[in-house]
Amino acid sequence: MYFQNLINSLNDYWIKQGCIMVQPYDLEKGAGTFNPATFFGVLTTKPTAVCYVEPSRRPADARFASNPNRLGKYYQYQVVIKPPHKDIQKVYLKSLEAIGIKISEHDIKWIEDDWESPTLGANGIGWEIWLDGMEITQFTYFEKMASFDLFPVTVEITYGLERLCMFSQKKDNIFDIMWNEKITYGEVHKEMEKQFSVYSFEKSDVDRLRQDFDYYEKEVLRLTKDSLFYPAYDMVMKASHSFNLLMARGTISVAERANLIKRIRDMARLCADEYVKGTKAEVKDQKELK
Amino acid sequence: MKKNDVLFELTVENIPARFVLIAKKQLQEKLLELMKNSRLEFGDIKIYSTYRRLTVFIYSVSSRTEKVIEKAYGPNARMLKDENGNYTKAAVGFAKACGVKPEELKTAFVEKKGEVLYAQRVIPSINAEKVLSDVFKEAIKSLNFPKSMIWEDSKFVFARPIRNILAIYGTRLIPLEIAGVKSSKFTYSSYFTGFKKISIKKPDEYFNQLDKNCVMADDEKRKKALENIIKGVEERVKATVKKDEDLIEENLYLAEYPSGVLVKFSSDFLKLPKELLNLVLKKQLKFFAILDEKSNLLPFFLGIRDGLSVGHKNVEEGFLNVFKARCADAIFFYDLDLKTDKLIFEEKLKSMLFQKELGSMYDKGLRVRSVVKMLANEFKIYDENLINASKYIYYDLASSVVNEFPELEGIMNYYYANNYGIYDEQIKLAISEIYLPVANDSKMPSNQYSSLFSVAHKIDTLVGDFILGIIPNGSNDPHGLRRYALGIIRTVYENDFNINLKKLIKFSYDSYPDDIRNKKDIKTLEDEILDFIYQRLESYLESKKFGVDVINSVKSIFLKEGDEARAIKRIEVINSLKNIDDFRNFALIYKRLKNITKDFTPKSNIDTTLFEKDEEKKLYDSFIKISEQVNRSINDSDFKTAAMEIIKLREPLESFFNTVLVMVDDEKIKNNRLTMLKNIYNLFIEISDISQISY
Repeated sequence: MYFQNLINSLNDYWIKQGCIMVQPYDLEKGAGTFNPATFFGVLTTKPTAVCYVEPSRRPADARFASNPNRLGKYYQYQVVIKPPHKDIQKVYLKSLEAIGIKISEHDIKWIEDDWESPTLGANGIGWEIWLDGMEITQFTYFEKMASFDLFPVTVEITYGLERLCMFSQKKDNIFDIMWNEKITYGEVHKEMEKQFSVYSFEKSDVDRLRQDFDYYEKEVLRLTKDSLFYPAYDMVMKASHSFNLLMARGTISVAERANLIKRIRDMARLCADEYVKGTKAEVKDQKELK
Repeated sequence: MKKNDVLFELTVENIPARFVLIAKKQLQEKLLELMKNSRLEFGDIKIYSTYRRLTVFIYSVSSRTEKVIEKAYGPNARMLKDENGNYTKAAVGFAKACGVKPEELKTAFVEKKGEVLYAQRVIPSINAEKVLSDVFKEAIKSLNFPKSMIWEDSKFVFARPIRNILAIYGTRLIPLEIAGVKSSKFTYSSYFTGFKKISIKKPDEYFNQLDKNCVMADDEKRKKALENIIKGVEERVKATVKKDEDLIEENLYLAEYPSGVLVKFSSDFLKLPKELLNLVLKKQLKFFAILDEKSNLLPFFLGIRDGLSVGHKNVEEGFLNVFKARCADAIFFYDLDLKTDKLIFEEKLKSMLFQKELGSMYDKGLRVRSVVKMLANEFKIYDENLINASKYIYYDLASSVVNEFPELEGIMNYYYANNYGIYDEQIKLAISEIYLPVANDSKMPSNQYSSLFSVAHKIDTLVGDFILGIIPNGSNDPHGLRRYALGIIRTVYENDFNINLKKLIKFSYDSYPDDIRNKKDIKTLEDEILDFIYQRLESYLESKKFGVDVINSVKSIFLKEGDEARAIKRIEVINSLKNIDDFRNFALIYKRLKNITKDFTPKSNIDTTLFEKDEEKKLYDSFIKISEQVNRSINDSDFKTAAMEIIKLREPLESFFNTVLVMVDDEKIKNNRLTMLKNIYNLFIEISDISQISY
């Protein structure tokens, strides 16, 4: 299945399951979980069901387009449902059938992998799903977001689109994936991948990134004071990306890393606080309990 | 009464192996307890499991509980009501205790007590389904997992969401509801057969029905199947599958219907360090490595698939691709490290914290180096190459491979040694074996340099933590100090690495800067660490089948000397002598010696002019005769000769006690006698306090 058809098939499948298909959020982020649809969506008791493609950036994972399996920029497919179906495992497996993978002809394993995002103050219980040994999906029941206890739980299903497609097309190099019948993934992305690798590892302006980080943090404080939690949350995403770029340069010590992560977590918490206040969502505050 | 078997099966979303094993154990115990209290008769309780099923069989369960009439006699009948006609406190209390209302109380005549209050409670017969319903609800609720979740409105807490409950007594449904799931007479097949609904009419058809639908619900049977797969592969490739117990267990709970997939890969990948390749296979992929007769890796692995052999080629190809992808990552990191200048590792070490107050890993390296120097001098193996090499023991912590695979700490130093300018094989091993032994029965440092580095590395952590007061208690041992202490003990003993522990502690203490040393004086530190090491030594020697009494008899001398090798020698000697008659008799009289001199401290030497009896003189002469030899033998660690000499004192001691009264009124004479006895006592205490030996 071509890369673009894969996305279409997943969209069709999850739309049929009652999801609304939103669009990628237009800022840099490390994972689909950062999309406001997920970040804010899980905080309330209101039922949610969304699906979307999310371009994700992990500067430290970049490999100058020389590694057949790794990218600094790639696509996630994200499904967020609350409350989850009682047969959600089956519903998920059917989505694989929808993209042409016959379950009975493959090995599927659910490997314990409790997920945690220290920057978002989020965690959950879940699995990596292995298809013939290859990790294709992260399946998580969210328990906490921005340090809030969540109930009802939300299920987050994150597919690695390139991996799935490599699998489906039997390619052993990401750049050989066929985007459609003529164009390869490499033709679309290889040069970009190379340039961003150079930028992330060698050319990014470290001093400026640090200044930016401080600026975004100030903005979060300023904006949340006026309950502008959406713009404030944009700043959290930007701060997080600046942090990821700094990490890629290898200039951050262990202690500083922990400190920066905490600062992002605190920013995210401020946004969540305002959102919860604004929507009067029934979420239990865990702050005092800690 | 008619009896039937019970089948209960809980289907949950995939639970990890270690959770399954915990649940099985808890469930077995809890069910036994609940069934014993249930008033139902029952036979065996058997528990089976897969990664998504917990299955319970209880055999031969009676169909109902017997009706029970409980009778109880209480206080005197007059106590029923007070003068106002109200039930008295005593009557109400008695009724409550018997589970009846006060108006249901009757009176009865009891001999010697007369007319008393009498209560009768009928516990009706209850059918098994009702009782079992409560038993299972209670049992499942009681399970505790290392990590649990809630997922539905009743907020039931469990490891993973519960999705189906099959519960039957004979052919009848046991009605119950857990976490919003109602029990039924159905279960479901595995994902690869499409979660097919399977009807189970009675317990004894369970395994067959599931088998037909490709589920091996019986763990034992599944394990057999797995072992057969392994055997089959071994025959096919004429080599050995690395049978890692953890890995077998993990795979056992990753497949409901295991089938083997043998994969051949390019021998190019064998260029990776074998420890790294093993880890990729085991940890990252859950695959089994395949070894030749010399335990070298062969270019094959065995993967376990959950399901039938349909699409076998797909799976084989997939397994190979994922293996290649993981190796590509490993190769990337490994090559990167090989290209990295050692100075870059050094810089990184400086920013890696060992412990907040104790500096960076680089600082730790410097301290260990100075301990290595002192030890090398002590053992007269001082060699510039060795001292230089000790500089690199933590360098691999800064490498990308160890960053990705922390389990390879130490090991990678071997592969990076050339980059450090180390070419001597022994020294290469030494810088890669500093963490050995990692567990109670694991590999020891392989040469004397390894032992030296390993001990220096461990004592640094022990001393640092003890200075700061980070001392393990209970299950709290965040830095693994117990393991470190045991590591030192084993290295000293098993590798013949004979270092006085006090000296070792002092070396390490001296390597710390003043501001740290000022936090604790060396004497206190020595006492604390020796005491800590002694506790580990005791359990280590117990595992070597020495009696606790024998071990404990050398405790005080060990704490005084700090010499493990000598302590163990003493223990071996006492252990070999303790059942010899002469020794035993001496031990008995030694106890007397200990008791009588317990509170006495000699203030002067023995004065022979104060002797009154021959027995006194004789004992004195015998004592003088042997003491020099005994002291010399003890100095030479020849405890056997020393002990054999001392027990010769038994006879004169016996005669002495038979004829001489120690506690006489004359203080001078009394003290002189006590002084002599104490000196004799002290002579043997240098070997062992044999009054502690139990006979």
